[in-house]
Amino acid sequence: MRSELRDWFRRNAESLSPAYEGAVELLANPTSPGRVRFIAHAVRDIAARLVFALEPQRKGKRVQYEEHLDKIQEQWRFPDGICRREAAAPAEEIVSIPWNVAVLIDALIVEHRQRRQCPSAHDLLFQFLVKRCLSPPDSIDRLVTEFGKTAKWFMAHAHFSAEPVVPVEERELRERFQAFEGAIFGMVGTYFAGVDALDEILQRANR
Amino acid sequence: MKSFSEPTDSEVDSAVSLLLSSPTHAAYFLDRLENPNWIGPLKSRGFFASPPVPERVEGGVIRYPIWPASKYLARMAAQAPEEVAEILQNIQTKNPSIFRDILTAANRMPAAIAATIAPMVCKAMSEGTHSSRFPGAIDLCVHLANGGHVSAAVDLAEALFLPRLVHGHGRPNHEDEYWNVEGLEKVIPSLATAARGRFLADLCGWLKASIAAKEYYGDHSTADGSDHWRPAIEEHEQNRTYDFAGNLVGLVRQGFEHAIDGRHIELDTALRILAGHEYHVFTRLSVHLLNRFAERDPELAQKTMMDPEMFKASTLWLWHEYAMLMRRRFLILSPDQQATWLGWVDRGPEKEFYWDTRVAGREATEDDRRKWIQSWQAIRLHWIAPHLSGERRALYERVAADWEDPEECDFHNYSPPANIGWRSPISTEELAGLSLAEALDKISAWQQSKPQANVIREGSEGMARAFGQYVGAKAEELSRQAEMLERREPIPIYIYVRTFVEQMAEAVKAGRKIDVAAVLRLCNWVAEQPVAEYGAYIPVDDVLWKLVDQDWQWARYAICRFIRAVCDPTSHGIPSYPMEGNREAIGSLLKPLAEEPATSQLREESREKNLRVYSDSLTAAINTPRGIAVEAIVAYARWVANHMATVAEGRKVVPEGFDDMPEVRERLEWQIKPENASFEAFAIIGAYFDLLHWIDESWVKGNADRIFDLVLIEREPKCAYGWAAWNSFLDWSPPRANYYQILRPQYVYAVKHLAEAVLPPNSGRTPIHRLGEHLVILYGRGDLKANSSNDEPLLFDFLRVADKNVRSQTIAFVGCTLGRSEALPEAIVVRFEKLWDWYWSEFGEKDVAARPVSGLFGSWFTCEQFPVAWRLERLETVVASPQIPDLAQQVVEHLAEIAKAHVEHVGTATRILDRMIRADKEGWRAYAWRDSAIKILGLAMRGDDATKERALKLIDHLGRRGYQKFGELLQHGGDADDAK
Repeated sequence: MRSELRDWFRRNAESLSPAYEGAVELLANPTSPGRVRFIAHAVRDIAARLVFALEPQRKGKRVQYEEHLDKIQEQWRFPDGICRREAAAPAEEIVSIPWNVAVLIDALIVEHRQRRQCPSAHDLLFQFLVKRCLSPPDSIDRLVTEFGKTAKWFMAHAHFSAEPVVPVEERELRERFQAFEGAIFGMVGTYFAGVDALDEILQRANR
Repeated sequence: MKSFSEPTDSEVDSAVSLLLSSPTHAAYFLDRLENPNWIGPLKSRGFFASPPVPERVEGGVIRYPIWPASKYLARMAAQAPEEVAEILQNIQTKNPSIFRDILTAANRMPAAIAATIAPMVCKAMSEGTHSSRFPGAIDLCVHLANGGHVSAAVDLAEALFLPRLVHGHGRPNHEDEYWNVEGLEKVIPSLATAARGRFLADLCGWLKASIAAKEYYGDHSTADGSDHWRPAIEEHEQNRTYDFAGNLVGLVRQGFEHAIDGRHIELDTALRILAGHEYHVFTRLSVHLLNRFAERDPELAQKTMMDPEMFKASTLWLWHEYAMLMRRRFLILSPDQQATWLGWVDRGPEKEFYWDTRVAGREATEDDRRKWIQSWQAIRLHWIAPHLSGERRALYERVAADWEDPEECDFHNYSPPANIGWRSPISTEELAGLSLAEALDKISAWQQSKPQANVIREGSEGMARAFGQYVGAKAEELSRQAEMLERREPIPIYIYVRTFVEQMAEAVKAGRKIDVAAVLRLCNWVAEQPVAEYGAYIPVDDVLWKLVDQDWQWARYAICRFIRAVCDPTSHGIPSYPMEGNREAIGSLLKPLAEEPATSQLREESREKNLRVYSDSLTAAINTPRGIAVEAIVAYARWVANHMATVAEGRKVVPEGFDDMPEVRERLEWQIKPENASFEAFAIIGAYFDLLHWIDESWVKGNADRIFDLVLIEREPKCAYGWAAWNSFLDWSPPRANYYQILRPQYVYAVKHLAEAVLPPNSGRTPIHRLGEHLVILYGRGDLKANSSNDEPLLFDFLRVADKNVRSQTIAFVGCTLGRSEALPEAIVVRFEKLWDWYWSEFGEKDVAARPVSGLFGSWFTCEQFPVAWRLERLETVVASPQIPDLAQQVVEHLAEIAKAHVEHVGTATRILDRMIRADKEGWRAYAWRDSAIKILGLAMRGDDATKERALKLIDHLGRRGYQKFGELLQHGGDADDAK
């Protein structure tokens, strides 16, 4: 399964291929410092970008909130913020702002709305798999949900912080990663490679 | 029991992702999983929550998908019964495939756990969600009963076997009836012993309901007519297995016998249950059980035998059971009781039972009554015959001497086992030693002795069969004595003459040397007689009179068939009999026979039948008097022609045609005169156009327009005999250029008026199809083009106007017929290539879209007359729709052969295969192509990158469809032989 996934990434999602192969390498090297974080980060990126690798024509667009807010901040006439003014000042129901500031705020809100209206990564992935007609929609929904669940665990471990690191059990890390691979394989793998993988599971199960 | 490992979460996660990725993965895994420890994890992941529902597919068919999950649970039921039962209890399904798995699982569990599923099964049966036709449900019933869960078992039995009756019919529908009876037979041994009272009461209730629903008997409170529909309570050949209530009686009896035998119920309790129902059959059951188990309560048995009401009833509905009781248990009566009983017999029957009506058309006399009373007494004495002595024995023996079948004495309504009417009163062996004259006298004497008291068993029809066997055995000898049948006795002589002539025809066909001339003289004598010489013969008491000839008509048919047998040539076309001595005798028969009445219904049915497309004129004709006679004329004509024929330029010809047989011309021309015309005659003349043309081409040319008058239908539809001739011609005559020259106006007319030939639905092959085939062959040979008018467009006109099914089949015909031909000249092949290209551009795509799996190009593709490249290119266009061509399996086989022989075509073959497989929406058609597909894909895997890529995707697609075998191509690198 792993070699087929690797080949698949190289053929169909070249930009994500280093992330996947890197994660596999780190998994094999338990002594690498920070490996859990790096692996988790790779998984997070793959999960977020997979659907765009499967359907390149769908361009994921991010709202650049900081850029927008930087521009607004430059024009904002309340350097200390509205809430920090003297309490004795009359309460105003309406705060007037310059037209150009309103335009900047409006641009941010418009982009934010558009972003909210875009289908989520889950939905995009679901739509892609449904179009392929390889499985009934309810199975696809469950498959995508499984994928999301496994990715979520990794997202929770993806960032370095000042807080002390909670150790992750090696076994859990491997099982989670295998589950993540299984979910991707379920979505993109070939049928007979899946049969080979099932044969391995059956061999163990029926012993 | 084997112990299995527990699956880890990651194993489950990995498996689940794959199971969700493809239903075929799920089926593959669940079909092979033997570990019950996976039940819990799969359940928590929702794999047992959504059973597939029935699907309606094209054509109105309902498909019931298999559910691998339920099959897995059924396999695991023995190892993990509680887990499985918990899941199955909550499954609601209308899918019988899944329901069957549930029953399988239940039968594998311990009865205590299976009982938790039983309520769900009962509910499904009671609500009619599923019928009772599941062997598994019956097995479950037995399983529960044997496991001590009697209440659940009886609940299930009630749901399964409650008869769903309609008043007036007295039986469930045919299939339910079968399952009811078969199922009850299986469950009775268990339930009758375990559930006893309740189940036996149920059986009685179902029997009562089925009687109440009967058309004639159901309205009476007690008189159920059971002695008619169930003559014996025990199993007996007199019982009718087709009567549902009758079958239930047997099952009720079995139930009680099982219960009493095993001492699960006392005899008196059983009798009390039966006494609670008023129909006579329940009393009969009681008497039967008393007889069977008399040792359990001898006093009750005595009391029953000595009950005057029982004795009286034994003259009617209680006859059989009372007789059996007396026969078996007479000796348990005390001597006084025996004497009393015999005294009842001596006293005779109650006056109300006297047969006081007319006997064979006259008043009953005292002698009649005395004989009847003695017969009644003797029957009762027969029941206890071993114990008789003195006068009673003498009376019994005297009366019984006349009995043919003593078993009749045991039944109120007795059906004799004889084949009615087929029994001959005189056996073939008795006749064998007689001369023909003696045999006829013997038969005549028997006929004159009728009517008989018991003639229902013997009749003229049976007698004639015996006579036929007698004649057949001595055909050569008896043929010389044929004139002996020129007589009036035995009445009815018709059937014996007919039988004689039929046997002679069979002897001729078998090549036996009979005296044909003598038989022909007899035939001429018959032909001289008025058809209904003696009036209709209807014997008073021959119940099969309709099988007996009523006049000379059937004998005349036999004569026509005899003529055909004599005239038909040997397999080498050589006449079997010389003309000398026979020609005149046969020729003189033609006139009287050929002027038989025309009886076809087509005159009246001409509007409904649409004569333009009616294809059964010939079939109808050969079973009518006129038709049979005209066939005899044609056979005679062939016979004379074969005698007269010479060889000229390597061909057999009849130089003088009908000039050498004017009697035939005269008969044929009589037939085609408007005042004598008939559908029968015209149909036969049309069918034998080929023969008639060979005999006398000029006569055929001169009369073609009279015979094939197609236009008349516009003025006088009822007299459109020409269409009968035309349609028979199309069916039976080959399309020859010279025939086309003669019948060109008819071909043109038929095509021009094609739109009026509306095909009835589901019409199958019609003359219109055959017209298309004629035109295709004429076109291919260039005969249409060779015509001075250049009729090449005639085929195209036909294809333009024809119904699309006719058009498709006509096009498909090209491939079929060329495929059977030897190598054809290039001109013909090119002509058909042009035809295809024209057809495809004008109609092809639309025709294919209308009927995706239709007869069209498949036969062309498999026809090796066309170049490979041409075929591949056209096929790829056809499947671009995407469509599955007709003869798909042969197409794929050819594709594989082409791919193997021509490496340059592997890519095209792969593309075509890809289209065809993806066009198979239902997925099962490709099963027939799999071996050839493996060959093609194996070659494709070794082809160029694009072809290999396509092959890989197709292999993946086939795997997802469930075709596991294609995976081996991936292992063996495309070596198809290894894959196979």
